This record gives sequence, C-alpha cells and structure tokens, in this order.
Amino acid sequence: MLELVGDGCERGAVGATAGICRELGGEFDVLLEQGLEAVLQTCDAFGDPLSGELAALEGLVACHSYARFEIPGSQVSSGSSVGAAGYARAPVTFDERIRELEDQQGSVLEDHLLYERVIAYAPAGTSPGVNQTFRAVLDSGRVAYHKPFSGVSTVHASMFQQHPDEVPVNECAAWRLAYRLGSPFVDLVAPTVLRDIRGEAGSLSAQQVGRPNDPSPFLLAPRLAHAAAFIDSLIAQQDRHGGNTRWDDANQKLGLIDHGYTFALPGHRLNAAWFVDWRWAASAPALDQTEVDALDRLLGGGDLLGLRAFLLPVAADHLEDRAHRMLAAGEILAQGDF
Amino acid sequence: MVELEILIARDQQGDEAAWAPLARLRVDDRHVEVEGDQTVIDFRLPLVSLRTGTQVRFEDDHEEWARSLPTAFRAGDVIVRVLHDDNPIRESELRAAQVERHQVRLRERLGQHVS
Repeated sequence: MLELVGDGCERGAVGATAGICRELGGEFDVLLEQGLEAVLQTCDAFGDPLSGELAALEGLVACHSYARFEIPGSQVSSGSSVGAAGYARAPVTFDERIRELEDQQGSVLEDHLLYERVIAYAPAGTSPGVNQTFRAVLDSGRVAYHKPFSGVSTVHASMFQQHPDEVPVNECAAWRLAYRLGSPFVDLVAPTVLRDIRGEAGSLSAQQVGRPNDPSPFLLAPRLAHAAAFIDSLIAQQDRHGGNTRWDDANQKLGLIDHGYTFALPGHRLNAAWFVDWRWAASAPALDQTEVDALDRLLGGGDLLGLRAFLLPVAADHLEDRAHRMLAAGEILAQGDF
Repeated sequence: MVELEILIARDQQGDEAAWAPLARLRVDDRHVEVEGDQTVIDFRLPLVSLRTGTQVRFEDDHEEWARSLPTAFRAGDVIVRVLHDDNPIRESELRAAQVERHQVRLRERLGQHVS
C-alpha cells in the first residue's frame, strides 16, 4: 500500500491518495485508488527527469516534481529510489515554512543578529554565477554576513541540485540543528537567522573568526574535527572544504560556515567532505556517546527538534533517515551518503 | 592565463567594505605563481566549474580550476577577485534550471528587544 502525499510544492487541488504499488517485470507500477488533480512544480533544479516518470502515474498531471516515491528493494526504471513510509501530513507551503522558522528563531546566541541595528552594509564582492553576500556591521560592532534570497544564484544552486530559495533556509537549519543538539556542535556552526535588511530577506550569519584552509584542527583539536564530521554527515553537507572553515588559533576554536548546500537528498552532488573524509581515513567513524545521545534527542521528539516544521518535507524525511542509519550502524555515514 | 587575488575584509566604513590582499594567484596551463600567503589556496580542493557543471581539479585544468575558485569562497569575509582571465565564462554560458522563485517577506523584528 502506498500513500502519495505532497511535499509542499504543489499547485492546484492536492489530496492524499492511496494506491497499490508493485514491481512487475522490472517496471514500477502503481494502481491508484483515486486520482490526483495536481500540477506539481519543482523544488529540485534537476526535477525534470523525474516529472516524466510521475506523469506516467495514472491520474497525475505533472510538469515537474520533487516528490519521491520510494519502495525498499525496488527500483524505479529511471533509477530513482524510494521509501514506502507513506508520510501522511498536510501540505506545507514555502511561506508557512518560513513563518515557522521565524517563530523558532531567538536565543541569546542569535538575538543580536535578529534585533541589532545594521549600521553598515556592503557587498562582499561577487562574480557571475556566484551567490551575492553582504557584510553587515551591527550596532555593537559585531560583523555578520547577509545572503539575500534574491542573491542566490540559480546557476550555482543548480550545480548542487538545490532550489535557490532553499539555500538560506538550509543555512538557518544547520544552525538550528546544532543549537538544539548543544555542545560541542553549537560551538562549531555559525549562528544564523533569517532577517530582512534593507528590504531584502536572507540568511544572516555571525562572523566566524579565523583563517580558512587551516588544517590545525586535525592536529590541535581532533575532538572538534571529529564533531564537525558528525554534524556534516547528519546535515548532508555537500561542500565542506577548507575554504568554508575558520580556525581561530588564539582561541583554538573551529568555525563552520556556509551551510547553503546541506540537507541534500540521495543522488545529489557531493563536492567535498573534509572532516568526514578525515574521520573515515582515521578509522574513527564510530559514534561516541555524545553523538548517540544527540541522535536520540533528534529522533525522540517526533519533530526533529523543530526542523520538520520548516525544512522541505522530503529533506526532513531524509534527515530522519540518516539519523536512524547512523544509529543503526553506530557510525557516521560515508562521504556522499545522503 | 587567469590571475586572481584572495582578499580578506577589513574595517568597513558605511556601505563600502575595505579589503586587504591575502594572496595572489597567476596560472596558465604550464605555470603556477603564488604571491603572499600560500596557505589560503588549497590546490587539492575540488571545485565545480560553472562553465561545464562538472567537478574540476587543479591537476586536470589549472585555468578552469582557478576560474572556478570564487565559487568556493561564499561566506563574504574572504573573497576571490578575478583580475584577469583570457577565457572568462560569459553570462550566456551559464546554465541554470528553470525554477520559480519565491518573494520572501519576513516579519519586522527591529526594536522588539535585544538580549
């Protein structure tokens, strides 16, 4: 039995639809109990190939789709994979997810980002095809970096198979997860909120002091590099390299920045996995007790510590799946295992 | 030949940031030249080429790798500025999926409180 549900990106009338799913002669087949009358729009830059597959499903009119229909042990002919979990939930719109994220924001670590006046705001250089970033100086003199939704390059987001409007949301989600998981993760990830500056909504990340591309954490603070590998594995980081880390030698502090290309889905591009690669190469993928406890907390409340309410539903499902798989295996996932 | 510099943000006055050079890189298919702090450039770093959409490594194509380096520094405190490029990627070459963008409007928060 399969239940088809939306992922929040549908247009038109959408209702949960039950049906029978089977594999026959190597082909994926669905007999629906009732038809969907929905036009699905993509939330996945590379959703086109899948939309054709969905169009083959009886009663479903698809121009694009982000929905995945997964059946363990079965292969859809195009190569997509699925889980027959049949996630039943009300459709969530993008605006509703943004409202929910805004509602969750606010803590002693974030409030300066949310409420302080911006006294200086300058573009931080840009090249064609690269996301726009602005350097913001707050009332207290603290510095933060603003990435407006409108400045996210569709070209660059496409390279990572992410919808550009999810990039600032992912930035915030990575922080919120680290914040809710507590030490040592909260100390690694740059605090990030959604904020409107000069009429442009975007993510605003606290500056992380230190040098990029510094391998010192592996030598001087392996405990931090170990934790970074865990968080990158959990959030499905697609592009962790030395350029988006900061090492503060004076304080022996590791800062992780740039979490726009995270919460990836299976099959999405992996470019670099600095910490995950290191931890596996060091034959230390096994979870420690802090990590096991963190995963237990993530899975224990039913709402993924609040992330389910504002992540793309399919991304939340895969976050949950990764956490389960990490617990079951007792180790972090291999690079690119989203 | 591609020549670029890596810059770090300095004190900012108003709406114009001040930048200080960390390193300068000049490459062609046979030569590599680095001035300044060599440690900020990691030649092992894989990059995604905006021209081809594929991963490019330094050893495979020096110039395309250097041309793609701005994509790796997205945070805003450290940036890459291309000074010269014999074969720049033109806007018309950039390929992106057709996606519908949202108009995001957030709640007004200023003045509510500061911790």
